[in-house]
Amino acid sequence: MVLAIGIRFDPSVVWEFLFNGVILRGARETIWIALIAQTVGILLGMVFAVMRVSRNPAARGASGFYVWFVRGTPVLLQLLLVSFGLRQMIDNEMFREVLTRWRAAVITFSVNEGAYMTEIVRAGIQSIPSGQMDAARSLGMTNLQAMRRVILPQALRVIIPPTGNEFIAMLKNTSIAFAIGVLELSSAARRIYADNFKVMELLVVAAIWYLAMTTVFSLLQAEAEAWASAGRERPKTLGSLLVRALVPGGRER
Amino acid sequence: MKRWLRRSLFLACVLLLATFAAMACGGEEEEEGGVTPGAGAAVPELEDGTLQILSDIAYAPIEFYEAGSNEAKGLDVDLANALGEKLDVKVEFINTGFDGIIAALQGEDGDVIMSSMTITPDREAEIDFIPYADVGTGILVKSGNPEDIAKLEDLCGLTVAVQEGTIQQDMLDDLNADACSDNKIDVVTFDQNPLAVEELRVGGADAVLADFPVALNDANQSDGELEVVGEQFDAAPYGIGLRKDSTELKSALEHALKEMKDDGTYASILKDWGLESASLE
Amino acid sequence: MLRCEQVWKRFGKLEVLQGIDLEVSRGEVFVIVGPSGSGKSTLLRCINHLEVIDKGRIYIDGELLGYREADGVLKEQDERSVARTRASIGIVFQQFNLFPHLSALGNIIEAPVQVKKVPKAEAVKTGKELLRKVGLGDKLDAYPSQLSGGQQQRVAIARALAMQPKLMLFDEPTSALDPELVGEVLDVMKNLAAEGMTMVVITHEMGFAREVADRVVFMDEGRIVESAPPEEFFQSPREQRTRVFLSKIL
Repeated sequence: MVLAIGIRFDPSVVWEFLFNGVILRGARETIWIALIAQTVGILLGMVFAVMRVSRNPAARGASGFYVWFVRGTPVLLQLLLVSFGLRQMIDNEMFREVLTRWRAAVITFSVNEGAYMTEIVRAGIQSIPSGQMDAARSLGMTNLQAMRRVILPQALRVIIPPTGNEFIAMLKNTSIAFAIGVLELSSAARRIYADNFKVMELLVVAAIWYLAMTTVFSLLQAEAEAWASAGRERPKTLGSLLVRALVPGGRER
Repeated sequence: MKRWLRRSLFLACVLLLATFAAMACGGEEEEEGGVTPGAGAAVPELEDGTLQILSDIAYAPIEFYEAGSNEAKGLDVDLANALGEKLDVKVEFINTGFDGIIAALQGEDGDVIMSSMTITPDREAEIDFIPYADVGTGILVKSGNPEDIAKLEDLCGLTVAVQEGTIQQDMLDDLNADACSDNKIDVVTFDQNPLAVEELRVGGADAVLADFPVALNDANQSDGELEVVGEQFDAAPYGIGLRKDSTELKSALEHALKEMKDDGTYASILKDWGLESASLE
Repeated sequence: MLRCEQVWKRFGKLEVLQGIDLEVSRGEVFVIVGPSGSGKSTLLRCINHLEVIDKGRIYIDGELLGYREADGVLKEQDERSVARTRASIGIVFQQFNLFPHLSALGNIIEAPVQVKKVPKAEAVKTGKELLRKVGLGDKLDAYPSQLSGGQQQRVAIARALAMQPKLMLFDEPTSALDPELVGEVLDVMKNLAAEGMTMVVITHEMGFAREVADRVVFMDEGRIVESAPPEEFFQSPREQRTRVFLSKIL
């Protein structure tokens, strides 16, 4: 019986490809897609969450259906539906030109994220004591005004941490985009190691980039949480320390 | 404190031992020799007397799943079954992503690769090949050839869909470095060929590059929407891929292939699939 | 000013309000007392349409609340009209319900700016004066979490007053306060009454009722049992139930 544990790993290859053009392009796509999709997702989440708790049964139903359908199907399936399915069904040249693969990916991820954000925002809204809504309405605000000015700003505190988690998951989920021909970080690494067989080294390169992205956004999340605690004791975050250090005479918000 | 330390060490030892055991069993077996059921030629290295073949089974008519079935069909499948018969072993196809298929072979996920794999110097650096068919590339376009494509160079400035990891992808990259360097081709890659064809069908690409028989098959299955431009070009041999150390298996397979050519099985299978032109006799 | 005619309200199977008739004239101070569960809070919430009544009518300054009468048919008002009516009724809650993400001044100017579209500078000026009036002129920028219960409630009163309401409702405004903080809030309410504000106050503070109320109303099990001026109410209540209740709390 021959036991051979040879560890073949070449750190110089990692360094060689860390800033490779294909990798950089992939990283850029990943961040870009994730950022846009998360932003749109948050907006969709707010709209549909307000609908979900509305007194109008039609609004509640539409929102419920959206969440049920989007959460109940795999993202991969949704990607294929939007990119191939829609273009097959709608035989219009302008439509097909407008719906590029990249836009299909962004749209799919946005709509998908919107469903999850709806639940997060809804939970946030419902975590606010009913007395707040009473007070706002008693002062003459409409439901929508009360939502915008009183409920949602407070709900942010509850909403931000799970949203941060969603974004970090989103960064990694973008790797599925390769199914419709969009090159992002994971498929960039894959393309390179399919060529030079340095599987481990390229995966490490990708991991480094993912970690860099998620770390930066974790810092931003901590800042956002601190900002949302307006009126309460603001925790000292690394970000706020940096701001104070870098901005001469600048006051912390 | 002491108790959890002891428990963790114990667990670590168990895991380590389990790992070694697994590695030992899955590792080199030159000395041990595999189980061979039948009389026939000695075919060592095979587990349970089965030849495990790694293949990207989405490449009709070479290897594919007929709609709604789990049975692999195609030229490669028939050739493989014939080889298995000659060697008196069972044959099993394992669906594997094409761009990772060589790594999978080296990781011993299977015994050989039979996946319409063209023999190239880059690939030969990693694995050994047994040539078995001669196939070129075809260009697939929308019926009526709206972009007037006649040869490869006409693709400059267009969008071409292709499967990731194929020689056709290399062809396009070479064009972009050379003949199309001023007017680059937008190369869009997909996991599997059918998706690349779909991209062409829905208007997201102007052409698809694939092995000629596959392109032809795609055109035939497209209800008149797609067509192949011209003839096949850059014909090169398909090879059965083997690990560099699978020397005994390689000679056994070469022997079996020769027998198939001698007794006419080879030619007859090619004829079944209309691919007599791919013959390497 | 405020008229309730045969108001009925049900929650599920429970009849919380059973035929309430109430009339409050301008400048009057009504104090409502009664055991918990008697429907007092619900009545207040119906008056400013936070709850919708099942039967009966409520008139604010002669206008029917929550409904429009057109050709003898009652039609539910749209949200905006209801909101507008609510803006003219101020309410102070037991739990203060200040907006924690805004400062004291921020709380006060929020509604005037958003609802009445008052220019911010003007709202700030009025807001500062109101805060000064309730004795918190130095707490403009303080956040609710930095204020005591009594201070928070006073800000809540100022916030309600900022909308220049015709009628002020108080739902047990001092019940959630530490005893030593009750006085400062009651003082503000007394001043308000003295200035001629129409007020309906639910409270257990009998001293306040005796001093300030024009009428004391006793509610029990969704009905008004007795309604009388304070001297009469406290010294010679007519109903047996009133007497039992008074004996328990005095």
